[in-house]
Amino acid sequence: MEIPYIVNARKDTGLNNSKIAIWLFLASEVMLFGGLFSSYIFLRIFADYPWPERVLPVLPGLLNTFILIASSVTVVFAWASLKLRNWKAFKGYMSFTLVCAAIFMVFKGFEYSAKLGHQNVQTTDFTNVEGHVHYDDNDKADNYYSVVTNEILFDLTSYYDQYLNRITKQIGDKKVTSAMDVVINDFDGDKLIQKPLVAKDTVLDIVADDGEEGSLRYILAEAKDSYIETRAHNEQVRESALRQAWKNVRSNEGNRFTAVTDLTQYDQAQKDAANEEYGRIVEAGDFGSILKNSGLFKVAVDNAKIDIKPSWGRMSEKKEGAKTGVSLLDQTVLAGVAGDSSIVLNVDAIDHRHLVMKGREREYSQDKINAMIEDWYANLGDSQGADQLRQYWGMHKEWRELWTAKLLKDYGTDEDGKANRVPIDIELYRITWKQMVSYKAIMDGKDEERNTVTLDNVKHFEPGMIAGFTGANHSKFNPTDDDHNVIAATASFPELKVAREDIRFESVFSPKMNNYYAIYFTITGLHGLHVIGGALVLGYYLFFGRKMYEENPEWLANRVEVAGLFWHFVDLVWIFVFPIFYLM
Amino acid sequence: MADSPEEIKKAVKLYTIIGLVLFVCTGLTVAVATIPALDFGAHGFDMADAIIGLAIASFKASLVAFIFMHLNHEKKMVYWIFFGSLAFGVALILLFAFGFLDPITFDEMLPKKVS
Repeated sequence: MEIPYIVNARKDTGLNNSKIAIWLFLASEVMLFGGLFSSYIFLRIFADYPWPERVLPVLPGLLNTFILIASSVTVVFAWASLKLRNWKAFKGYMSFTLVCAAIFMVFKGFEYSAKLGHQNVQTTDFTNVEGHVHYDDNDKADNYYSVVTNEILFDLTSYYDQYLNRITKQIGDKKVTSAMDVVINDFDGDKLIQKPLVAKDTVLDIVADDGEEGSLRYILAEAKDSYIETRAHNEQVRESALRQAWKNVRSNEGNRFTAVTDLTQYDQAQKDAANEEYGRIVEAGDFGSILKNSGLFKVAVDNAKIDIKPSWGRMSEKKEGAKTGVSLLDQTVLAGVAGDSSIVLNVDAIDHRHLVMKGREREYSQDKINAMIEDWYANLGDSQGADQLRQYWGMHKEWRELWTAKLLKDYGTDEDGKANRVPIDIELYRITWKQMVSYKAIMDGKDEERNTVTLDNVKHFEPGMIAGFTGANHSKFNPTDDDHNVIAATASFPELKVAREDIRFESVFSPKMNNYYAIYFTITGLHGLHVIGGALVLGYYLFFGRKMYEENPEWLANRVEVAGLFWHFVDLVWIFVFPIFYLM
Repeated sequence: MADSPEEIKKAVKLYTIIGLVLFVCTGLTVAVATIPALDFGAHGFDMADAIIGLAIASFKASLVAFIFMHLNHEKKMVYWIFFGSLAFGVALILLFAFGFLDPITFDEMLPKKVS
């Protein structure tokens, strides 16, 4: 079938069909992104936490803007080349456009990966500590609930194999015994056979799979089958008894309810009678007996240390040494004593703004808020890293005094003697990673002439845009030894151990972190998908368009124009994304 | 739209110029956001910076739409489709204003300004 008006314009619209189609599609896109930007504005205006303004590294965003603009130019050049019947030039411009799309996505990938590898820990007083978490033996972020387990309770119907495997792997060769006698029901038609599955105190093999009799997995699987079958049996008994009860009650109704005149009473009386009759029938066992049935299996463990990812469940008591229970998403419960669940991270930013905001909401005095911040530093412990952070805070206070004075000097005061410009909260209450690098250089006397805190010295040592391409540069400013351990003496981002009970909330910089990152990932992610989609279509014309070009070059020119319109729209969206997310 | 070879060659020159203008405007957006001397309004980010930033972005977007996407000489139907949806898009963006009508949020929960 030939599709009409793919090259020539229709008389009524004055346009070919594909152009109308792309504009209708772009119209829907305008509303899609309009809705998302609307969400952004709403989330920002009504945020109940300090909005992370100007926190994204500008350089990748800036380069990506240049890249998209350049690709927008080359895509119209490619179209113009087709109009001028110059296939070679078309190929050149289109290839350049695709290279731009690829570089855009690579930069996006760097950005996302830096965010997802960056940890935020909010302590109970609303101070936010950012940094890189230490790695465990498996090269994963060492962020676990640790529990010295002496008892595990499995929910037979919902235990999850992946969790079970991780748990048994960590138990290792510690002894695991059944903490209960388990008898299972086997139904052979109507005949019930009950047989013991495992006796209390039996040692269980936690390695073998469910095909091996006596192993933990075998017991769980068998007990699960029995539980489900017994439930079905019990349901059948109950249902039959209930049907019979109502049947009996209804057949007796002429005799038993003649005295009742009120309809409501009649209804209730009938229900009561049916319940009574049901109890009698069940007791009599007319339809078989209701069997005892437990959906749980408990094992005793010889104090095995088990680490659980916080995303797997909840821990009741987090303080080391406290009696605790971790309940996982699959309803498995690990009971025992809380181990060391603290997060150890190399801190690259400290932000007290949320604390300050909460203090202001409660109408605390500025002195009280300042005292709370000082308390936070005082309670950091006596590690080398904690000392270094206290020194940073001391230097930061000096810096902000100087900065306040400079703003006053440069911009003066108004008629009432009030300073025209004062430092903003992000300057007052956040120590950035760049400042940490500067403070460390000043502390260490890296340059003898610049060993005091002055605005000039701090600026001098601050890393530039390239060193901080995707944010805090740990590989450069936190050098490691041959074993990949950070050398404390030269570390600009000191190590801090935060006890789990002091943590109010922790997350990497993912959508889970807060609404800002949720909308950031939604809009930029959706935009990234548009880049990939656009590149695929443009790539198709580049690699498979030759035949179309030879048959009817105008046809290909029209297709490229339509795909180009989409590509320009992708650029147009980014033109707003860049200032809104990176600069505001 | 340019159709004859001469017109297209002329248009290509225009696209190059527009591309350069877009590059310069991008640099300008970054400059007003990062250089203290170009910080409008109060110190730090505020409404003045938002207006200037979005004005530059809107100017850039208009150049892309009118020149690269040929909206400067399109058929009537395209204007209806695009500007019709844009009106809805803008209406969507303005929906946040309803947030201020919520008495609980506005009177009690609206956070104190932390810049």
